Amino acid sequence: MWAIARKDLAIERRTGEMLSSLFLLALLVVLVFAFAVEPERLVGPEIAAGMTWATLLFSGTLALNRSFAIERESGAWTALALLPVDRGSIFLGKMLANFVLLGFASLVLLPAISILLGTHGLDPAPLTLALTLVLGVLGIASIGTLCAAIASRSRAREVLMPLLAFPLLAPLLIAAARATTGALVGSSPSEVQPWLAVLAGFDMIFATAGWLAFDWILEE
Amino acid sequence: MQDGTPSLAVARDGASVGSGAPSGTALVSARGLTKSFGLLPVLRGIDLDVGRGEVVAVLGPNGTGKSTLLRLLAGVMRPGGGALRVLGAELFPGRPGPPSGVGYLGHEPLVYRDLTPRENLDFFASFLPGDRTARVERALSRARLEHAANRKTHLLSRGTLQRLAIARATLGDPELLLLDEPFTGLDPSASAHLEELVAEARRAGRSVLLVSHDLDSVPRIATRVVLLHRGRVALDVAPAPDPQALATAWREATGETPDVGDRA
Repeated sequence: MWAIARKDLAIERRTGEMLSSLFLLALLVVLVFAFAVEPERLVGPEIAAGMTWATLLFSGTLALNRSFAIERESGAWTALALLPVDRGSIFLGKMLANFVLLGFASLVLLPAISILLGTHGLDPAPLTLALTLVLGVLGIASIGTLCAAIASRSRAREVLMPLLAFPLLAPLLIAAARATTGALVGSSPSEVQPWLAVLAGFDMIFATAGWLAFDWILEE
Repeated sequence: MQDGTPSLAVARDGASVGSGAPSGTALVSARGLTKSFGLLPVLRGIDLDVGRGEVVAVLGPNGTGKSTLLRLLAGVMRPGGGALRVLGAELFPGRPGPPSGVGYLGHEPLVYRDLTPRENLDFFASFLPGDRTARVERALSRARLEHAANRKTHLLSRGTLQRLAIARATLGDPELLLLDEPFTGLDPSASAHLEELVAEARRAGRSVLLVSHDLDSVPRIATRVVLLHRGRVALDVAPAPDPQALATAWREATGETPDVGDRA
């Protein structure tokens, strides 16, 4: 698992393909928000939370579409299937690499969005915010990796990936936005515990589903 | 068949052909192996035993299932039916994933284009037991890749890329080596080197199955020839006959002229 994640991160460090597309898409989403909504309405914790997660979700999911391009373009998909390891651990390795990349992206995007919106009326609770970010990003990574793996076997993968991922990510978006809203007004983790529990549940379900299903996804 | 026991066994329509490898020592044992892609049957009941130290050349016209057979043996593809044991372990069902101790060289190099050859081998070696660095250096040296070890893989020439693919396939010193058209893209010197690697594997008691279209080189490399025709074993002969005898046997077994075209 660690070797897979390390390899994916080394390739991303070298090519920057996933992060560059992620940041570009994030910039576009933020700009669309800025143009679509009157500036004076772009204030408050709900807007900040919603915008953060909508940006992460759209840009992250589409960037994760490239997650298996590394294997596809090198013809190395079969090389993964040939590894003498449990195939579920290959999925977990890919998911871990995606989690690290999305986590890094969220650490860059969050301050950028707060600068754009201003911090008026916000009193963030760091622990709640960190917990929400970790669980939310893990959810995007697990669902995104699973859907990218399924879609990568199809010729219509560019269209199939968002079609598969976005409906699955909708509940995660709601829970993450609600928990983040709470975090931005200083709520403790226990106060947003139901939303954090939803996020944790999502993470476990999709990480397990990917771990179990990857054997069949990888097989020809 | 064991080396040095010349015999000619010809099978038609999927009839079982004893390879001579006692079932107890067979590294590969396939019984009634079938595989279809959609409604198109590719393998229609393959019976095949490969014993230790055998170098089996798998020949046949295009589309007859040679590459599919190798992919089934490598464990990257699930057969439609039949029983398959590789290195003593039943592959499917119940044990998904590749058997350890098998090296596979496919049509594609199966390496990462954005890593260097050394990084590629290091990655694949990280899943193998023993000293990783020593294994990588040994593989680089064996494939004569030291000069290109730190270059970007996507910048390598076709021949050097094939050497890297061979280094990857042999990284774990596999008991069974599956080579799908291994001489593609190699210059004469690299081809000779690969032939030496195959001979070395044989001397060490390892087994090799290789798909080839080059009838001339087969007797030099292989100890046995298996000809697939329409998804079945049409000819199983050991030791590998000379090219002319092989072409005659091919015609007799299939009623067709030997097809030495591109991939099957």
